[in-house]
Amino acid sequence: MSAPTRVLVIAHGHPDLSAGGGEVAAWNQHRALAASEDFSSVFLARHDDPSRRHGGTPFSGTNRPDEILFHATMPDWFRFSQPDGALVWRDFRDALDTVRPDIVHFHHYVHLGLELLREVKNRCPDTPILMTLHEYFAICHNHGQMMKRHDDVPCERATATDCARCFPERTRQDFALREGFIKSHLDLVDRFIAPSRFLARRYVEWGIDAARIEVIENLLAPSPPATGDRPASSQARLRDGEPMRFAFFGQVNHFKGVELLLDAAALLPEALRRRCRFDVHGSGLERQPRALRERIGARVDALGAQARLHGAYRPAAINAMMHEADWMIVPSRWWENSPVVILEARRAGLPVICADIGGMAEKIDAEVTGLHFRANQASSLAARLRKAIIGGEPMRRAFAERMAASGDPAGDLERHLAVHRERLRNGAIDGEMGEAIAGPTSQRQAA
Amino acid sequence: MPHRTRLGRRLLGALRRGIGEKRLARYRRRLDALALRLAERTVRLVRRVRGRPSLRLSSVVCIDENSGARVVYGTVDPGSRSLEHLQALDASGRDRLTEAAMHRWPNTVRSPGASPRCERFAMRIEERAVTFVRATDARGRACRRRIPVASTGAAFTRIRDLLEPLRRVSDKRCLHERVTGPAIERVMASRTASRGGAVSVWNAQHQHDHPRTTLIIPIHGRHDFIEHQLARFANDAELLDQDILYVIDDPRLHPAVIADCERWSHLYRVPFRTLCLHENLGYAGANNVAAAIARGRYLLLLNSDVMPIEPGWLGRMHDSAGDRIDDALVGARLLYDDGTVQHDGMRFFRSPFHEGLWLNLHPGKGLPESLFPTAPQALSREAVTAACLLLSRKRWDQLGGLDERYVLGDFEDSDLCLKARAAGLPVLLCTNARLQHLERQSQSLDGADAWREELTWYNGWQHATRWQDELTELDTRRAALATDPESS
Repeated sequence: MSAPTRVLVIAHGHPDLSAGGGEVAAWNQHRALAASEDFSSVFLARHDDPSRRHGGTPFSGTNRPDEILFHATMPDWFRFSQPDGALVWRDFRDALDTVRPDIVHFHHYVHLGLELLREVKNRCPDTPILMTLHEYFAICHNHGQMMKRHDDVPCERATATDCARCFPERTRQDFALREGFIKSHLDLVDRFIAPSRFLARRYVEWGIDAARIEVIENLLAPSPPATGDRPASSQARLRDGEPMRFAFFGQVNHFKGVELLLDAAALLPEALRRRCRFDVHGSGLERQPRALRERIGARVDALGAQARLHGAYRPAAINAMMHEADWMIVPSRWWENSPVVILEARRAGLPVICADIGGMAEKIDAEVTGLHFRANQASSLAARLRKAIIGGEPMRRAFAERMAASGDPAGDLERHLAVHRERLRNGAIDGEMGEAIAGPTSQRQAA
Repeated sequence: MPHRTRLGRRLLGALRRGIGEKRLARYRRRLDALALRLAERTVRLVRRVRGRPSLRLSSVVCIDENSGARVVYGTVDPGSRSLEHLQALDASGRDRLTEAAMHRWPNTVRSPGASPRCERFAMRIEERAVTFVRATDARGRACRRRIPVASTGAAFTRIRDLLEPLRRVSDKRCLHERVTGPAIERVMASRTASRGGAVSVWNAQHQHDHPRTTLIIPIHGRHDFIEHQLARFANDAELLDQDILYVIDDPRLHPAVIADCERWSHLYRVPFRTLCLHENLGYAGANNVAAAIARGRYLLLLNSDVMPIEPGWLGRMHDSAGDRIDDALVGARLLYDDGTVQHDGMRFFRSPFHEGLWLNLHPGKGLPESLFPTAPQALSREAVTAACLLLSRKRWDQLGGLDERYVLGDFEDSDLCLKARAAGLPVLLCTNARLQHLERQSQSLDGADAWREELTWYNGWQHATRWQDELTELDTRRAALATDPESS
């Protein structure tokens, strides 16, 4: 047998240091490749922790043999351009020379710089480049969220004119140049992977050839903890008289909609509210603006014993924590892509109430594996909460069973490996998958 | 002067009645000093208004007491015309400066009131007879300043004083060529010449009669590494037959180290010796002095912050070179604590950030060790670090040891490797001798990082100047390999 194909997986962060969904997805991809027979994988993750730096090199290690930490900062969040040239043509090139990858798989360019793509093409012209898309950074300058900056509503489409209206400090021409610069680098990518059809569509509408994008769900950790057995989830968990437990998991920031959840809870009639509990398991609140912290604090206080803020959690503990919840709420104000928490909820058999837009609406089938509420509307979310509370344990269980049965992790893994194999066989782009995305859209619109 | 005007006198009278005579005298001195500075400034201002050149000497460093050689740094403002001459004059007014010993550069650090045409300059003066610096403009108007007494002191203090004004200079290469390079060489040479021979040696109990290798380990700044090394050496049977020589190149550390030697000798039973140098000789000097009393047929240059990971490494370094061991320079693979490579050989890199100066690069530095191939036979490298470097005593003598013209431990190792290459000797890396390197933890230059960078620049310039042709040839050969990587 020939030597396994070596993939260099490049991420904007390491889950040990920053626990965002993109970092986790990238690391899971790396582990999955490493565990497969045909591939070996090296994970290169960017960080900015000076205490992990060595002199004379941006690289350091994690004491794992196949992981590289890459110290880089990228202050240009408009063009995603790396100002330190030597970091690219000297240091990153050194890493390419040492790793000698057969495939390079980018999970991001933020924090790193788009120039890394070009360096791969310059240094190893025959090495195919794959890129998994997270968020909408290339399309939208507003933190890649595709939200209107001033009136805080989801944005349908980015054009230079519209973007300049969101950012009056920049001109239309700035945005046109930005788009051209980003696309000139993304053109070097041989194949994009989109974790949701919705996200793929957005990139196609922005101008990426549909034939270059494949929709494959993100991977979860290859071996879930032993407590994560599926049957447990569908067993009766609620005994009479116990409150219904609604939980939020993830980062706490404005876009994630924790406020909206607490507002909806407050809108429930007193009698119903007494029959449920709201647990917010969220990290990063301390880094949020003071006003948001105060608003969330005040709402939690007002709900009294019915709501609790739990702070950050250990990623390894999430399965056990999901087993202690009855419904998960994904109240995001923005489109989302493919939230990792929804994959984790699937694994734990936890039904979901989420907003009816974008990636989350795509992942949760309304009235099958969960409930949809009208995005950004607390009253609509309150109505769904009410339905879940009144439906009680029998309804929850039916949803939980369907949730546990949804998804196809084994197939997703196989599709991921296949896209890597296919890249090796054939550098050219074929068009099969493209049609699926470019076909009639069925996206649900925000109110 | 206040007491010479009527107002001043009246004020003084009033004050004298209120304040004590002593305090008043102090005020008067301060007022006088202030007035003097004001007057000087006015003169300068007036001169500028009139368009005359002006001259300020900022520092003077002695580079040789015997001949009175000095380096003078200063600022010259040409006034309204361009500058015609900048001269160093003796008492009779004769110019004693050749153009080659001076360099001028634009004054990028603007002090308030300085003219935009202001220039900074450095001049190297060879003779004691020179007492003045004179600036003359195109119209023949001149400004003359007497050169102040030069600062003297320990060699490294002088080198620091020589290098500190270079911090924001953009064309350092030219400055080193004309002024500072020869000046620092002079300081280093006089230091080597005046080296005292006084050293003392302390011997541990367990000495081997015919050691194969002498490990030379210079100590400077920190000595707690000695015990960490001895603890690891003690668990490696191979090390018990060698000659381990600690060179305490830091007189401040002698009492503390000697106080511990007896204890270490009883506890670790390792055949070590401690050589106390009575003055700080620097990295190259310490190694050279130690090599002269080495008892082994081979020398292993080792840094004190390099720690063996597993036994047998020294034997593997010997074996990896095979029958080339008597000719070769053999380096080792050095690792960081996080499982990544610190050193796997060096290559030379023409740095666009340092005026095209050649620097030493550690390819793959910081990348996981698992990505690097391992082989029992040593692999060829452009250069290897002296943090862990094995060679025969015979070749060491042939190459003349480490070059002491480099200041404070930089580039001596690549210089040695280039000398070996020039003599046709192989430079190799043993990939299965793995040691941990704490890197730079052993050097504690108290808060001197700013001039440390200038020092690296100077050493790099020395190195690049000396090996220009060889480095260019190596680069050409590497470029040829890069276009056809399969042939490597």
